[in-house]
Amino acid sequence: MASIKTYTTIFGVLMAFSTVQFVFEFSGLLEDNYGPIMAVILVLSVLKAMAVAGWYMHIIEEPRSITYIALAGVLGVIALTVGATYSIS
Amino acid sequence: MTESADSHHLPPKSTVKRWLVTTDHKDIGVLYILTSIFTLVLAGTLALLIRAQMWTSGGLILNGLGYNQVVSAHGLLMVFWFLSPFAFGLANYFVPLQIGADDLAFPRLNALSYWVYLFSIVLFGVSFFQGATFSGGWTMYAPLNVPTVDASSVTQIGGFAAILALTMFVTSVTLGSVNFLTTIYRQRAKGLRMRDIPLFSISILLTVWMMLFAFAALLAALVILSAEHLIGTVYFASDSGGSVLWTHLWWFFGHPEVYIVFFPALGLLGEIVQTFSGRRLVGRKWFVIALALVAIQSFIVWMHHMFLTTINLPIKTVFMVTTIGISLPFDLMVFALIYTMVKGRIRWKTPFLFALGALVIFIIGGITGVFLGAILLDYSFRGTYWVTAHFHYAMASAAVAIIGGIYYWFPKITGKMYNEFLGKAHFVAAFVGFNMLYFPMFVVWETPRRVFVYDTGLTLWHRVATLGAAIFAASFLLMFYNLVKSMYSDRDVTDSPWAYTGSMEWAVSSPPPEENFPGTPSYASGSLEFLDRSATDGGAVADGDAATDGGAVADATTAAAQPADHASWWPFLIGFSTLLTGIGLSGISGPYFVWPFLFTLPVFIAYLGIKGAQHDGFALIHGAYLTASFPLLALLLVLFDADHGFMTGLGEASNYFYITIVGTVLGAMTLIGMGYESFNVPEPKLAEQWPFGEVESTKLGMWTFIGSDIILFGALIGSYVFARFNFGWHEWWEAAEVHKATWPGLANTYILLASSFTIVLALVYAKRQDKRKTLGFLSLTFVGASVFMLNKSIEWIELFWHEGWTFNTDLMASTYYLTTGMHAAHVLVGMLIMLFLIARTYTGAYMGEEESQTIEYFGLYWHFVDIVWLFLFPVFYIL
Amino acid sequence: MLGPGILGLSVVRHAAQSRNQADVFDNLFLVFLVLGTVVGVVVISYVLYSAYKYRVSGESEKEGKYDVDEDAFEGESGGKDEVSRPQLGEIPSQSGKGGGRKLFMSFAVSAVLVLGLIIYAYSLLLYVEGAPNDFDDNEDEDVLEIEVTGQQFQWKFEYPNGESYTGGQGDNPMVVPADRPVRLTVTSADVHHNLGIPEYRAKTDAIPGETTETWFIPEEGDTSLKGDEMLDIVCYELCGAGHSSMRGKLNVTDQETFENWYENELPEVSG
Repeated sequence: MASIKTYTTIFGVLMAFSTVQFVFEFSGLLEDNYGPIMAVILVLSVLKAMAVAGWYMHIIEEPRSITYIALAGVLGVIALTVGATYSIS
Repeated sequence: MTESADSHHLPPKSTVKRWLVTTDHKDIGVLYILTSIFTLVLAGTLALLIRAQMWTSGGLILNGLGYNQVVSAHGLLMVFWFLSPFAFGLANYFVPLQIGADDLAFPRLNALSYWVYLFSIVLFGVSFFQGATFSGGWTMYAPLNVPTVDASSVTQIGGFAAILALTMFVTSVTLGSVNFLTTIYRQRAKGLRMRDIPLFSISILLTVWMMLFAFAALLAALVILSAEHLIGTVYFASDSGGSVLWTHLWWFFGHPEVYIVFFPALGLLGEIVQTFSGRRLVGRKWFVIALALVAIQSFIVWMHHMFLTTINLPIKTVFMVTTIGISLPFDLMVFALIYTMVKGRIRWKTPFLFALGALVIFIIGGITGVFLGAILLDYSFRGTYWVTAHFHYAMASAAVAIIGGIYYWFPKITGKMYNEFLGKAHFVAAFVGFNMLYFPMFVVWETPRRVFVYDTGLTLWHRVATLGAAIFAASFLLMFYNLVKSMYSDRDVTDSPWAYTGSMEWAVSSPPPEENFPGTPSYASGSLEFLDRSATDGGAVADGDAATDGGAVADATTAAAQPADHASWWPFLIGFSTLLTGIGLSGISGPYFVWPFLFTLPVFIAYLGIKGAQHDGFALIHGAYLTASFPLLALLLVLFDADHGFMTGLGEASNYFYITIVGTVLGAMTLIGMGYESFNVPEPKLAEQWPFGEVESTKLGMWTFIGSDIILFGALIGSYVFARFNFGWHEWWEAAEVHKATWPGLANTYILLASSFTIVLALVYAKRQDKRKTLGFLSLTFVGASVFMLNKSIEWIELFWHEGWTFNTDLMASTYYLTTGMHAAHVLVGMLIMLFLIARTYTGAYMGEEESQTIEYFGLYWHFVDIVWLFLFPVFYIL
Repeated sequence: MLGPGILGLSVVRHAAQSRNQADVFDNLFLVFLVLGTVVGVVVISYVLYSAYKYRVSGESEKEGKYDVDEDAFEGESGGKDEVSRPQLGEIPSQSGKGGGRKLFMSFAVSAVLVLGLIIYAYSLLLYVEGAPNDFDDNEDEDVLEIEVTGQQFQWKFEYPNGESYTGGQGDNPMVVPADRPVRLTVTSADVHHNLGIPEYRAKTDAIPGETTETWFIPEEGDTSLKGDEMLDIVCYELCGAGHSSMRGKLNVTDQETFENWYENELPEVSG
């Protein structure tokens, strides 16, 4: 268990990242530079997910094998999504 | 406590009640075996109908629709409801005995898996009587499987019932996977490392890993398919890649499924060949590594089922390579089995004969499979009897091996030896019948699959196959007679009636005692010992002297520990409620679909109050729940009135509507009943638990469940990405004629993140035993979730009613509503659980380091739901 | 292994000269069939031989034991076994002694065999997949393009001049001239079908909203115009109640007959 202070900091970061994602779309930046900005938005989501999993689900305190279970699921999703989408490109 | 202390003891086996309430893994194993054999008979009868139809070209007894139903139901029942459950009957019985566990980690969940499985068969059976059952083949290719394409068909209701039955089955499998994984990782005897567990248990471990992920992908496909039926989404009906999307989802599940079916058989082959050759498996380490490689690789070969669809040449090449790659580990395993026989002391007992037969059949199935790996040959074999013959050689090889397993362990389960002569006779008849049935299919391979019109020059071979089918089927009568008769014979067996056995199940009596072992099993000294239970329960490691081989010390006082519970009615009742819900949903009309679930909410809340008061003593919170349920019900009635008109709505509702309500209400009540039941399952005090030593069983169970849920949501998001990419990524929203709801999306992101924060704080204060603050933050989380749902409703109502963007408007609407809707359903489930937690916290539960774990487990679920949203937000609201 | 290997090589040479998918298939199938049969017979014979050779018999005298007596073998072959036997209560991870080298040799042989076959098969695949492009590049080839649409439970053929018709059981066959490459562009109007012409080993999925391609080169004398010897066009994907009877026909004519049909009869049946 981390301290309440840590949890609060992470909460602040999560809110900030979400706002940034929104601002990208709201300001029209996304429309002008679709590819790169999309990448940035998705990377922000991945970072947010890692923060929630790492501290709120305290995966950093668990044995590494717990992380592998989640990663196995994520890898499966990537295989399916990338494989299926690439197959029709 | 309203239930008497001894209500959790098992009634004797002669009573019906015993088999309805039992949570003992051995009982449930037997139930699985018997039920799957029933399915074998049912699906086998359908196979005989197929072969009868093929007696002459043009068919003998069935019309086109009838034949399609028989073919589809045969495939579905055999692959799903027979093969895996047959193996898992043995797994239920023997995995705990092989690894030294007293039971599975979650015995009630195990019973629930079984009852949902059983009632899913009942639902499938019902589907035959609803006009017609599913008739689109076991691969359920889209868009033949969606109602809008086949609108006039009589298979509407029955076909959907079969799909719902499969969905129930997937639920059962997922619960079972979580259970087996937790058990094998957490409850092994001391000294038994992961690599040390017997081959059958290893094969089951890898099987459940594949099940966990593969069946989640199938669940995603079935959720979408159900949505097409219930609310009219247009994923698969769409001309924009819907049909190809289905093949991707289906085969992403479907190829691992092949190994899911076959792995337990491989494990059994290892055990049986080892025992009856009297020689340890040659190259065991490599055998296990090969198994693990196949399990992983099985998730990247699926497109070899799609070589003739629109997939491009580079991806075909990649999948040809992975496919050939996956055949090689099987070569190694087959050779390992063969070389184990060399220099063995081979006894030609019935189990060995079946193992040998399975090996021969599998070699033929494997070689003919390599043909299919060559894309060019695959093009011509596609949709022909070559495929049918090949996969029957592979799949039935699994069945034959498991039948060998039944003979192998029959003496252990019953304590009686079967009749050897009848066993051998069964093998000969089965082997001859099998090859007569399937080998001619290679000869007549040009016959199109699932077609009963064929070149009349092939008639003779088709008739040989039909005769073979009759012989194959009849051979099973010998087995049934033999086993039933032998159960009542006087041929008692010792602990190990076979020579050269090795694993733990042969070191206990036949049949094994209710508590499985005469003492706590341990391999710490290098070989198996049963340690004095009272010593090990106390936490101290007993020394070698305490070991016994007969159980003399087993009765030593264990009064210190509360005995484990073995009986509960709830799994049976919950299973039954899923049957009712399934029957109801199969025929419910779209506009009514959501109402049974909504009407269940006030019942859930009221019953939570009642049960809580019974269990914890009446408190203010229970009164509040009861009171709140009435205005909620009133509100729902008003909404229902607005939607359908109260009296006309109820009057026009079909019986299916009412059956659904009964099912969902019963489901809510029984789930609460199970939630409030005290059911003691002691965690093992002395066990090998690498690599999850510091993780409690329930937490590991929760994480494995989350692993499968990642695939469920990932497959839904993947479907969206596929559909959008296929449509044209940038044109997507322009074509949708509505604007992205970015503002509400942002608001909900804030709300959900905040609720994650508050649930963490609730856990912090529960650990500090601060009840007031725990309750406060739990309630705040609930409020957050409510605001999220409210915001979501406004967003939906705006799009759905005001902009007229309904589920079936276009692909954009379908993907948007279904994916965010599945997420909302997860939020709603979380809210219901929170109501339970709040009531329990109010009456003093969950305070302290240990007790607060329940809140932690719920938090894991809640954070996961949050993470899903973190991806839905950019994907559906920004990009 | 040498015999079938040489046979395989000669077949390879033959296949390289052939133009049609059917010939490519026949040769490839033969290679696989011969090698597969040889491997299957060898391996299965070895399995059965080993199981027979190393069998022992006898029943234990002990009550409740239905198998040989392990102790009876003690002292055989000079006391110490050269292989390791399972023992009750041992840690189950113990492996059989020896056999490792043999195991990997067999594995390596099978891997080489399978990989060789697949690389060979892949080279032929590249030819079959590349053929339609070769037609386009080669100006001498006048490819006949026909768009085929599957619909429950018949096929619709559309010719380059825009005329189209549906063909069911025997009537209204697809008509093509001999010795001219035919490219089929296939789709579906309702559900997932699969179009196959077994005679030419031409097969492809018919998927709503998607188009796929396949090709063949009909030869003179494959059918006659009389109608009784026409070739089958079969649906290979379950497509509904009428799936079993979803058969179209294919008629191969000489160039002159085809042109006559194309000019005069096709507009009549079109509709």
